[in-house]
Amino acid sequence: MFTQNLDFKTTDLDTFPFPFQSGNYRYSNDLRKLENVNCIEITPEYELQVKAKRRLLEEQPDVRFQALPGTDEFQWEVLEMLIGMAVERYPEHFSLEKDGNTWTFENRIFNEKDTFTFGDSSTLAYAPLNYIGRHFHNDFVLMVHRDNNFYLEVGQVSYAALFSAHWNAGMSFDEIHAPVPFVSRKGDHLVERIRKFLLSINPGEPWTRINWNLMADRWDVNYETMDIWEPQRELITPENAGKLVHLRVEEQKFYRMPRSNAVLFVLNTQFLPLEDLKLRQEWFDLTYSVLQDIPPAMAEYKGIAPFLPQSVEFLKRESESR
Amino acid sequence: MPQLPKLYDQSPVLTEDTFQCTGATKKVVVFLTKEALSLTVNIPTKILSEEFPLPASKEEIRYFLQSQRIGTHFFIMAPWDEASEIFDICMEEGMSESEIQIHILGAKRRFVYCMKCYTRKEIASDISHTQCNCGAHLEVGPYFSSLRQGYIGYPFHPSTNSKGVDLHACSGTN
Amino acid sequence: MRVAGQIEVKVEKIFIESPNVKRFRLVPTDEKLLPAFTGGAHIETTIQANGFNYVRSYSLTSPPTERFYYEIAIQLDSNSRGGSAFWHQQVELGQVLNISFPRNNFPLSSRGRHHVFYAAGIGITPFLTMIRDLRAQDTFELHYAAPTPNECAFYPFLQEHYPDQCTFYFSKVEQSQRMTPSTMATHRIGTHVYFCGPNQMVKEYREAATAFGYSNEAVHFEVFASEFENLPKHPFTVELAESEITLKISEQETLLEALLKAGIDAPHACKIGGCGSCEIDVLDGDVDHRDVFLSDENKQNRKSILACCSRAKSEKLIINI
Repeated sequence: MFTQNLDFKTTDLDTFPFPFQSGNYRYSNDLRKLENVNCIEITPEYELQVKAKRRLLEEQPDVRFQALPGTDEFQWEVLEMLIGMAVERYPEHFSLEKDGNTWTFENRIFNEKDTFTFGDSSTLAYAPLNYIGRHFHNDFVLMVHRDNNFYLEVGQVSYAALFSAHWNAGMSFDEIHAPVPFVSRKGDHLVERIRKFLLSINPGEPWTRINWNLMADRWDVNYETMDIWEPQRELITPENAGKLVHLRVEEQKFYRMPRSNAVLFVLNTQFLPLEDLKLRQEWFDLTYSVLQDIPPAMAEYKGIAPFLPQSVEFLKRESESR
Repeated sequence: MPQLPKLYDQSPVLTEDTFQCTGATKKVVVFLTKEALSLTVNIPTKILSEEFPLPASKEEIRYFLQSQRIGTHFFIMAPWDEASEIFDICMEEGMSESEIQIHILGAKRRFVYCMKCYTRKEIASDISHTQCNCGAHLEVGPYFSSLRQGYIGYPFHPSTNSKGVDLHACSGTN
Repeated sequence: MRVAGQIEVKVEKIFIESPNVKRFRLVPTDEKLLPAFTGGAHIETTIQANGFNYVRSYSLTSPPTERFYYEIAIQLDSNSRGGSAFWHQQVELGQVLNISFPRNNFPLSSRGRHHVFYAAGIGITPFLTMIRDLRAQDTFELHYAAPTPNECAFYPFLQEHYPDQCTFYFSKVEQSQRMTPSTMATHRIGTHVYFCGPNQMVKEYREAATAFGYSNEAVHFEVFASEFENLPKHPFTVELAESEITLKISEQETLLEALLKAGIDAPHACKIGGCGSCEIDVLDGDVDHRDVFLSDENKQNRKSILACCSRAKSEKLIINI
């Protein structure tokens, strides 16, 4: 498996989905109704992220994209939605021409124009979600609602941490989250609560939540490359933490798709090195406060225990030097 | 298409003992190989029971299953491979795991799925670390995939893996 | 493509299905495509008239992949709170209304191989779309009870398209036949059963299914309205153990409504006590169960409440949210 040194971070801070509202992190649902329903976003890092994603998909198709048989119709439904959103929000970059069922989609940033027959996967170079997903930096996961649970049946995932589209394909929501031990203060299982909530999401009413983590230098932290990134966590010192440790935020948006009865997860992953936190005092203070407070069990499960103390030490020195 | 469950060494349908009836059991069909004939199966006399001798072809088994009524529960007494095949057919015919119990004759089989080369390797029940044919060192995780039909094998570098890091506790999603 | 909010539609056609069932065809006023949906789905309709807001949910009866129009079939119900009477007597061609996106609390099972539908009266509607969505390799049966063929909505359609799979039970004809749960005993393994009709019918069939050996996962049902609608509502207090606040629930509102108003993210879906999504653990107090979702045994042994419709027998409840 190739390793890659990808060095990108959010430059337009307004596009960074900063995760902390209070200085005290607690496990909670933190699900909110989605205000801006359009999930397509072109940030200054768009080209960089999309190119990296496309390269991963070309070099490791089996790792990053999985689709179970029988999901074609579901994928077309997602394609229709995403193209509609792109064209609506960024008409200067994207356009769609329809001649009956013959569609022509244009991406002017990459100077690409594709003509295909809507609903006919043989007229596309890739499976429908694999095709349209390559035009956006997001990860897309389709969790199909079957028999009171959700099953990962289609996934195009380049950025998600401690996850593997290849491994998690076909699994239920519960199976995917089996590594999550968390219970709320009163003892309910968090995964159970989130699953029940997702089951109740209706089409036409999308939701959102934010998931955060810290990355030690390397941004590609899937199961397949665990032998590479895992030891790197030990190499973090308070001196290099500012540069190497990134706040990695995954903004999740959930859309219940009406025809597939699946929940589409649209994931927007952005990175900010700790040293850039000082660009916004409020962000610095909140992050410092939260990281100081992380319980050991949560640090373990997030995989950050080996370098959390060094990161906190870095922030402490930063705050003392002001 | 849904991913159907597969038989694995920790499957809830496996039993070391004999068949357990529940309130939902109206009839028991016992699939058994010749070796199992000598084993006792305690089914209460008020519950109908029938024996289905193995080996049998997949078509015969499928045809037979399709003729059974709701409330029929199945007890499979066979070696691992045969039991797995019958379990697959049961799943394909729409049965739920609560309607099946399996008593394995002989050893259960266990596989680890290498996350480097994406192949399965058979391992003994007490193995927690192994080396894949591709050379990768793997720590056997507790999570099983029905699609990949093995437990996850987390790759690690033997010289640099730090002690005290609980790979099992890792997940990026919360 | 539409993604969120409500959809404005107008009534384009009205069909008489039977003396007290009308079918309405709805088309979007903006002439854009409607979302396709899955078998068993329904829409929530909202019409403003006579100073009222008529908000009612109806199963879709049009083909799930039909995107130019939707159809719903409504029975004139003598026990109606006014909704069906309004639709039958006052809704005309051209009536404009808002509808939700299609929602599905009654989907087909992916695991079942043989699906058996039991419909009583207007309970037939969700099965029309579920039949269309069945996988080619699955089989089905439909058992449908109505007073007479004339009063049996969709009878000609079903006779024509699915003659081999349908069995009709007419109670008010000379050789009347009653639909009973006994046919469930002889279905093959891998069968899932589905019930739709009045609460009493659904309760009877659910109990029978369990007695015949169906696992819980193989039993599916949808109820159209709550029989508890007309019971008196008393105010009560509820203490939220996790959120650490106390709310007073008035006679006018449900526990769910109060929770949502207080900004609590309480899960919910059907809002009529049928699906269990709003179940919350109860730590203390006596629940006045008004749902059909929990079995009688559960209601006695499990300490929980369906927030959308149940209330309290005691003055106060402590719940885990």
